[in-house]
This record gives sequence, C-alpha cells and structure tokens, in this order.
Amino acid sequence: MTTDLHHDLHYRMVRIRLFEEAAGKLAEAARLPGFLHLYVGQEAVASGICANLNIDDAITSTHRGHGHLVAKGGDFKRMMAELMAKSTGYCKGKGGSMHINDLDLGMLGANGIVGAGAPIAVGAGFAAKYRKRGQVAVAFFGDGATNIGAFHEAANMACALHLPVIFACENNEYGEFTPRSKTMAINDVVERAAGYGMPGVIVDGMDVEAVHEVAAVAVARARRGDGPSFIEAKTYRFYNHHGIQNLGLKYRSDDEVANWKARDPIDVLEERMVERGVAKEELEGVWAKVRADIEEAIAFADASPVPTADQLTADVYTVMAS
Amino acid sequence: MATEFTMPKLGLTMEEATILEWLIADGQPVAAGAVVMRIETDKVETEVEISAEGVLHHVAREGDVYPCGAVIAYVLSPGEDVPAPSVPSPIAAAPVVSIAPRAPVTTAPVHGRLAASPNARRVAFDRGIDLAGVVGTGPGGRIVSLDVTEHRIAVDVPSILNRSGVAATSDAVELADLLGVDLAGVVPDHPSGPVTRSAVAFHVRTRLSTQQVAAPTAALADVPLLQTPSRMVRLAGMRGTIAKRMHASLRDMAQLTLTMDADMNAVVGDRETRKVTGRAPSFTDYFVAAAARALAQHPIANAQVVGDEIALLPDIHVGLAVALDNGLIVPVVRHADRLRLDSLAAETSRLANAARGGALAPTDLEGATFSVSTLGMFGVDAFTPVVNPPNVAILGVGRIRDDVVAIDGAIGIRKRVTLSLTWDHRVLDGAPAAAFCRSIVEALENPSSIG
Amino acid sequence: MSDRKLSYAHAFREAVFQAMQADPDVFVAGEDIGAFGGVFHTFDGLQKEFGEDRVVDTPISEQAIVGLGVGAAVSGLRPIVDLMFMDFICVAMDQIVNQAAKIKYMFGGVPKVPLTITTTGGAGVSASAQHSQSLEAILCHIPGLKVVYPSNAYDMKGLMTACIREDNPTVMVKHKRLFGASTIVPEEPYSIPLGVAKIVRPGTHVTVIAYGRMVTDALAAADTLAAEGIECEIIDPRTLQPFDIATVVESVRRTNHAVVVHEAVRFGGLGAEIAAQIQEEAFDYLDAPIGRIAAPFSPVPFSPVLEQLYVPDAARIADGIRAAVARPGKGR
Repeated sequence: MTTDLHHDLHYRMVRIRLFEEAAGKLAEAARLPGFLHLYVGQEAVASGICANLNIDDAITSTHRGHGHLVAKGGDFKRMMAELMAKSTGYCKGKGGSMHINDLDLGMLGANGIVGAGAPIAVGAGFAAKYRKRGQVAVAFFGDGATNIGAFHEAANMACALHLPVIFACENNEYGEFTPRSKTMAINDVVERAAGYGMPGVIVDGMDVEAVHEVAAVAVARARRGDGPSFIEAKTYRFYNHHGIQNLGLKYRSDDEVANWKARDPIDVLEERMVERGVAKEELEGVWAKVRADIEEAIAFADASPVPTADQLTADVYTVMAS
Repeated sequence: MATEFTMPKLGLTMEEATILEWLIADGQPVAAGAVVMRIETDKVETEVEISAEGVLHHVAREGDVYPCGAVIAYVLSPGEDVPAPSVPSPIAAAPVVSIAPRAPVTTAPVHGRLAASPNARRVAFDRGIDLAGVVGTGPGGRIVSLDVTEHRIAVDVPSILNRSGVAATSDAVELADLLGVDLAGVVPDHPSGPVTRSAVAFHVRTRLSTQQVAAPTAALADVPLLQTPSRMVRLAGMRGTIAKRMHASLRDMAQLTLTMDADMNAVVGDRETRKVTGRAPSFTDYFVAAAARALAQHPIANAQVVGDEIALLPDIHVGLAVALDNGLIVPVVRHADRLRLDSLAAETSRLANAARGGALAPTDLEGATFSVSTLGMFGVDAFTPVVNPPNVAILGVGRIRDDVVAIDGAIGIRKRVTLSLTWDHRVLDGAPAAAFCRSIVEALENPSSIG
Repeated sequence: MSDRKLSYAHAFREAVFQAMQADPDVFVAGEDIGAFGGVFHTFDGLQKEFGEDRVVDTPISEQAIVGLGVGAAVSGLRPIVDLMFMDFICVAMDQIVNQAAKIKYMFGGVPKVPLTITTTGGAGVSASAQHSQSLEAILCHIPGLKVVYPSNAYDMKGLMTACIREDNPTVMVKHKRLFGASTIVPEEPYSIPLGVAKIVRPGTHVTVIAYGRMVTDALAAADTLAAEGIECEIIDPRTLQPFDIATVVESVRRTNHAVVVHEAVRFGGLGAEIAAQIQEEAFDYLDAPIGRIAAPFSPVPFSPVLEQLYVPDAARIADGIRAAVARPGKGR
C-alpha cells in the first residue's frame, strides 16, 4: 500500500536531485558563476522534514541550500535564474547560490556563514510563539556547524525560552574537506542536545520515510508548545564540497563514496514503492515531468536579462516613505 | 534649441579632419544613427553617424578641414532656426594675424574668493606673485601651480631688447634667431608681457599649418607660378598631414642616417623551410621582427622626446609604411617584440589589406614607437628615411640582391640587403645607433632568434 | 641572485615553511589547512612536513581559532591562525578586537602577543556578499593590531616573514585573485619591515596610493596615462597599519596631486584616512582635491556584470587620475 505521502516524498527528492544535477552540469560548463554546493545524496533529509511543514513554517538553511528551498516548494525558474545571476532570480542576481531564499515559502535563506542560520531560526521560532499561530521553525545545519559558537548559543536560547524550534543536523561526516572525527570528540552529534535540555534522536538520513517519521514527532511537539527537539540525520553528500568533481586532494576514499551511493535515498524509496505495487512507469513519469520543468527553467533563465547597472547600489536600504 | 553636430574626435591623436562628402544633403531629414558624412583624418577615411533626429542644416563645406569639436551642422526640429554664428572657421581659413592666445577659462571667483589651489597659493607666495593677475586653467577655472609658474615666465623674467625692438625673453630670442622668425610678428601670451619662447613656437606652428593646409592660395599669393598649372592638388587630408609631419620632423630633430649591410641567406633559407610547412612570412616581416627584437635590447631607440627629457617607452609598437595611391600610411604592429614571426606575419598582412582597402581602424594607426620603410621593390638600395615624430628612429630597407663577397678567402655569392637607419642625434649618438643597427643585422643573420 | 619565480600563494607558504623550520614555537591552525593544505593551497604539504601537532586542522570555530592563537601567544608560542575568508573575522571579532589587540595594553604592557592571523579578502570571483569583502579599514581602526596587505609574491614572502617574527598581533590579508600571480622570490628567508611603503612606479604628475590587487590595476592605468603624458607615481603602502604616511607626503609634495585607490567601499575606507593625513601634512602642496577611487556603498554583488562595476579597474582608475590632474582651462 502506498500513500500520497510516498508520492509526495518521492516528488520532492526527484526535484532536488534533478535540479542539482542540472546545476552541476551548468557549473562545469562554466555557465554559473561563483560557488555551487550541491545537495545530491542528502535529499531525504530536507524532503522528509519539509513534508511535515506548512507554507508558513520557517526554515533556515546553509551554504548547501538548494535542497531545502526545493523541498519547501521553491520555483525552479527563479532558482535557476539566480544561479545564472539573472535579474529574474530569487535575489535579482545579487545573491547567488549561497543566498537563495523565498520568504513567501518560509525559506529564510541559504547562508554563507557556517552556523549563522541557527540563531535566525530561534528568532523565527520566537515570532511563531509570540503570535501564537502554531507555526514552527526548523534550523538545518551540518555537523561542522555544531562546532561554532552561534549554534550553541541558539540551542541554549531556544530551550531556555521554550521555543518551537527543530534543530535538524545533517551529519554528512565532513566539514568542507576535513573529516568530522578530526573536529569533534564525539561520534554522535545528538549527544549535544542533552546538554541544553532538549530530546534528541538519530535517524538514517538515507531513508526518507524514517526521517519523515521522526520529524513528525518533533514538529508535533513544537506545535504543541513543548519546546525544541534535535534530529541528527546520518547522511552523505555524493559530490564534492563545491561543485561535482573532486578537485585537488582526495579526502574521501572511493569505497566510502561507493558504499554511500549504494544507499541512494531515491533508489531506496522507489524500491519500496515498486514492492508495494507502484508501476515503474509511473515513477519514470515523475522524472520525465521534472526534467521538462528543469528544461523550461533553464530556458527561462537563459532568456532572462542580467541585472542593470542601477541595481548595483539598489536595495542596500529599505526606502522609507517620507 | 537646434542640436549642434560637431566634428567628432575618433582617436587619441586625431585633431582635425577634412569633410570629404556630405552623404545627407542640406535641408534633408536625418534619423538618429544615420550616416551623414565621410571624413578623412590624417590616417583614415571614415563614415560618421549622427545621434540626433530632425532636419540637417550644413554649416561646413566639403573639402575643408575642421578641428575636432567644431560645429559643422545643426539638426533642427520643426520650428527651429539656425543659431546666428552659423559659419565655422575651417582651419585653412584661420587668419594668421588674429590668433587669440589659447583662450583660458577666466578665473572664477568662488563666493567672492579667488579660486586657487593651496599649492598655487604657496608657489605664488614664495615667488612674490599676485594671484589676481594669474589666469586659472584648473577645474572650474581654479588657479593651479603651473598657472603661476607659467605666468612668472611670461611676466617676471627680465625681458631683453632685441633687434626687432620687441620685449622678449632670452629663450624667445634664441628660438626666434634659430628659426629666423621676426619677433615683431609674434603675439605675446600676455598682452602687457614680453614675447616668450612658447609664443614663438605657437607663432611658428600656426604659420606652418596655415601655409601648408592653405597651400593653393598661399602659393598664388606668395610665390609666382612658373606656369599655369594643369591641376592643383590640395595639401589637405593625408597629403597635408604627410607634408606637415615630415617637415616638422626635419625641422625639430637632429636627423642623420647610417647604412649597414646584412647577409640575408639565413632569412631566405628560413622562408624556404617555412614555405614547406605553411605560409611563409614576407621579407618585411623579418625586418619588423628583427627591429622589434633589437629595440628591446636598445631601449634608447624606443623613446620620445618630451620637453627637455627623453622618455623611454616600455611597449614596442612598430609602424610599417604602406604605399597608397595618394600617399602612404603607417599601420602599427603592436607589441611586435612579443609576437612570434607567424603571428607577426598574420598581423602585417591583416594591416596591409585593411590599409589598401581603407578599412583600418583609428587604433591600427596610433602609437608606433618606431617605423620600418621598405623601398627595395623599387630597386632602391639605400636612402634617407625621415623619422616619424615623435619616434626617434626609423629603419629603411633596400632591395635584396646577389652580392659577390669574400667568404673565408674564397669568392661566393650571398643574398644581401642594405639597411638605412635614420635617428635623432638629440637622443642617441652614432655609436649606440650603430650598435642598435648591428643588433638588427644579427637578428636577420640568425632568424631563429626572432622565432 | 636567483631568478626563481614563485606564486603569491607559494610565497606565503614558503614564508610559513621557513619560519616553522627556524623556530619550533611557530605552529599553524585553521580550517582545512592540514591534510587538505588550505582551500587556496597556501598551506600545501606543511602538515606532511611538520606533523599534525604543528599544523592543526581545527573545527569550523572562528572565535575559538583566534582564541587559540591568543592564548598560545601569551603562553610563549608563536601561532599562525588562518580564517578562510576575511568575512569570517566578523565571527571572531571579540577575540580579535577585544582580546588579541588589547591584552598588551590592558595588562599593563607585560604580555607579548606574537600572533599572526592570516585571511583572504577581496572580490572578483562571484563569491557574493559574505565571501568577497574588503574589511581592512575595520582592522586598521583597532589600536594594537598591525595589518599587512601584499600586492605581489615578493612582498608576500617578506611581509609574512615579518608578521611571524613580530611580537604584536598582525593580520595578513591575502587577495584571492592574486594567488596565481608570480614574481621573482629569493629562496633564502628575508623580511620586509612593517610600516614601510614602496614606490612601485616613479612619476612626476600625480601620486597614486594603491594596495593589494589594486596595485596591478593602478600600474595598468599608469601605462595608459603615460601615453597621454600623465606620469603617475604609484605607492604601495604594503602595510596598512602602521601606515607609512611619510613616503606618501614626500611624493605628494613633488607631484601636487594625490589619488587613493582601494577595493573596499569608499565611505570610511582607508582612502578617507589617507586623504585626511595628506591634507594635514601637505595641504599647501595640493593643486587639486585628493581623489578616491573605491567601491560603491553596497554589499559585493553576486552577478559578474555587477561585480565588474563594483570593483575598480584600470579604466576607472585612469579616469579618476585624469580628473585629478585635469586643467580644463588649458585647452589642449
């Protein structure tokens, strides 16, 4: 028996995967300027958690932020246009991959500063509690971010103020190019949660159903007004820290990468869906539809104009009505 | 307001141009972006577009020379009239006597205070000069320190009475004597001041350009014609420029020429080898390349004189004289010392084709630091090339000929060429000039060194 | 003299390498600098040579990275700590401004803080608003810090060596667009004294003060202007704090014109300080207002089109210099 939820999770993951693959190819063709941190491999985390959220729930993201925006319903056209630095992009071409956002979807921005999203999620959680609308906020961050002061201050404050915040740690075992084991003395990041007084759980970040399940518990708890939770999703980025290929020093073994790729979260879900009676053709149809959407987004971005010179100093301040 | 249409400045060194032809007749409508005329600068013929829209009203004549920035037409919207002073002065018609000293912007007092830079005030104070009498040329008419020093030269240097009985500085007298100028005809920079050296120079420059550009009338006026001419050729456009530049070159520089032979067997051999694998460079390309490499070794020959200083120029751009039906043109191979021979050949062939097709861009003609002129194809062995100002040297190349020469005591036949190097003695003496020429010869005798 | 050429990145590495060889108290700590050699390869192979105890991969913890350096420095070591991007100094600002810079003074002059903080600044690679900033003016405003910003590989090695030998906290700013640029760099260790500017091109008409990547662009502008008869004297201060104002003033007294170029935003940038000092010391020698060529007052844009407009280039520098020396009333 499959449910609409399975199709929903599948659709979110396929959208992330194909968007990221397309972006990676464009970057290698030198058509995207600047940094590009791809989310491929980690799709189950954003999809499983965001499937529990409403449009007015907030999330904060990281430098690896496309997946979070897509999972929250991001528009391919505006995303692709932003990656190409076009004026029709989410940031009018002025922010790029690392600052992509959609406040209408509650996506408060990718972020170039490691750990900086967590305190902002605390603020979003504060606003939710303040206005009593039952909203929640999710802070997505990596294992590396839990080594930075901003994370610890945010975790403590969220617990102290009893805010509806979910701390979602995507442990992909590497902080940029350095293995986690060199930068912390614990094996499970979740151990940190207890120190602040919030429940923590470890989940297989390659299993979207499992992620969805633990997130449902944490989100419900937050909506009830019972305070923050911590989720550690064990996951892996299939590509390099930046872009697709491994440039320079090899810091991960081929075996390690292959073992994780064998647990591709989309394959895992599709196998289960097929076992439960979904036709392969139906799944393939999803891929085809998303591919077409991406082609359309690329064409849109290609046809869009670059920002005009007057945009250089526009939007530094909000203009106040006099 | 009628829109002014002025002679455009199309290159760094462009100062004036001849209107060859109006392509849109007087009184006809023009659209923005339309090509309205053809002009000839000292370097190229080119078409000029207009950016305004309306009815074109010519105020300048075909065949006349106008300085950049001169109003040569108006574009009128419906109901507009041509503004009153509608006839510009072509350069040829500029009367000799009424030369206004370079009209400076009048000193603009700022809120009742004399506008002068702090440095100008300091210099004026040091030299006891009253700034009230100094004309400012800086931004907004502000007096800058150079205005003060120039003013001092004009006013305060004790003037001496000379043969003409005119008050003039000693520098001015010296220059006037040298050039045979009567000081009585020179207009001083400052109405009450003595004639200065720069005023003499300005006087001479103006007279020369007037005489040359206005050659037909001047000739009729000054020199009796020997015969009734079959045709008059105006010294304007390219011809005028060549006339001015070559005359100025010989007047301003201490030029002399040396000749030196180079063995060309190695170059001939190198060309044969290259012919097998692809297109061979022309002989001229070898001369340009050899000269460029030699210039890199002798920076003093890649220089120009500025005031009383020699400026050594870091980039080597070699001009290549190309004969045209009505004169010659000198397209420039930029950074010739850095080009491999095959790239250099590609560039010279592009330039030569463009020159003969009239398709050179203004930038193709600017910035030469040295030139090569070849007359070998006309059977010339040695000649006296004239330096292209502001360069300090030029290389003349003769024909490549079979010479009977003694080689290790035996008689043999070698391909040889005579190089004629003209240089400016103010900048370098005979020995360094010979060493420079020697480097060119060595490069030619060892073509692998020029790549 | 050897004419070996070395890149800006490798000149930095060589200075660190030689300092570590010469002094066992020198160690390096930062993100991705050990096994990976640094994201800009500025620490390539150092961990292999000196081991994990002296070339330390740290967590992503900028505040603790600088704190580690401060604590180790007052305890007698000579730390070099790296913040991957200059933007990240903001994450570590307390340790830099309130701790490293002030400990000596606050503690009655007793401690020495021989700490070198290295970081990478500047725009030009579409790294967007949080990875492209030029924040040197903020650092130069803090008494107790010394700030260097080399424009070429030769200066890089000499200045980095001087920073490591320095007993005060120094910030070495590298420009991310210069890493590949090579010059002749002697193999033996040498140091360039902090606070000494260099006249990189002599000239007579205008003094141009430029540092970091802007030196390259200013030199290109000077070439263009030389063809127009404007001879620029270009001064690279090399050290921004302490600033060698004497060399600048001596030059301005000769040229009577000054233009300051930097990549940081104009408002409150170093140009403001330099212009103020010039007018204090050489007011009576100025023929024109001091020009400032700098970025507009906005964050660094992502779009390459806008970024190009943002960062001053040779053409814009040339225009600024022309304006400073113009004599419009002179005709041609």
